[in-house]
Amino acid sequence: MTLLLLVAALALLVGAIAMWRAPRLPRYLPLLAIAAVPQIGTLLGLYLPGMFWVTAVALAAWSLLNWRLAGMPILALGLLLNIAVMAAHGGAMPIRAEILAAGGEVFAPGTFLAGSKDVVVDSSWLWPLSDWLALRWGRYAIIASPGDLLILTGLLVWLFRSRLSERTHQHASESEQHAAVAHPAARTE
Amino acid sequence: MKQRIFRSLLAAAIAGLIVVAGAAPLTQPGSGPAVSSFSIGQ
Repeated sequence: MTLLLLVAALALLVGAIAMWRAPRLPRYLPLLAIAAVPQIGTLLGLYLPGMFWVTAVALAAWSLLNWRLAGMPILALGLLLNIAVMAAHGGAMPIRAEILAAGGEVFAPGTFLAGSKDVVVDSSWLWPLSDWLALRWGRYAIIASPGDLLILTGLLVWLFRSRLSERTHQHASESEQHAAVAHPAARTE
Repeated sequence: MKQRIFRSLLAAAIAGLIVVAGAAPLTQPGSGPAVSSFSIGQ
């Protein structure tokens, strides 16, 4: 539930920035909704390993269909890293027991953590892609994966650059039009 | 203005869906005890 509150706070922040920046919106949103449903189920305790692939395929399709959007390549790379490490662990994000122990929580390897997508592991050959980047303050912490950080970076680039990209494109079009007016013969074939 | 509010709400929803679907951070302390155990990820 804490994670869902965190997501809601992030969404509100994005909404506020979008009010100011008015970014170009991605398309094919139903794919995103399809991708989210199994993961919401996981966060609510309805863990169905096979459904992970619904998320993976929907996210891959959505990323490719919106590839030209600013920030999408970074966001897609983050999604790919998370999907890769989760695919290798039955659809769950691995987190090493020692990372949790540093925050005072001890769980046996193989334990699926409530309200998250994480499964506790002793070790993993893909551990650099797992949740290990901890931001701690007091007894609270957010533990993220490199993929999570790339997703966040991609979102920020989308918010702050997609409008800028449109302006750049508009500027280029205006320059072309100006050149055509100044040199009409250049357009005659 | 109405359209701008609608688009910002849509942007918020999109960001929420992206994070829920693709990101997998963990918050500590957890929201509750472990719900179950699986023989995966070992």
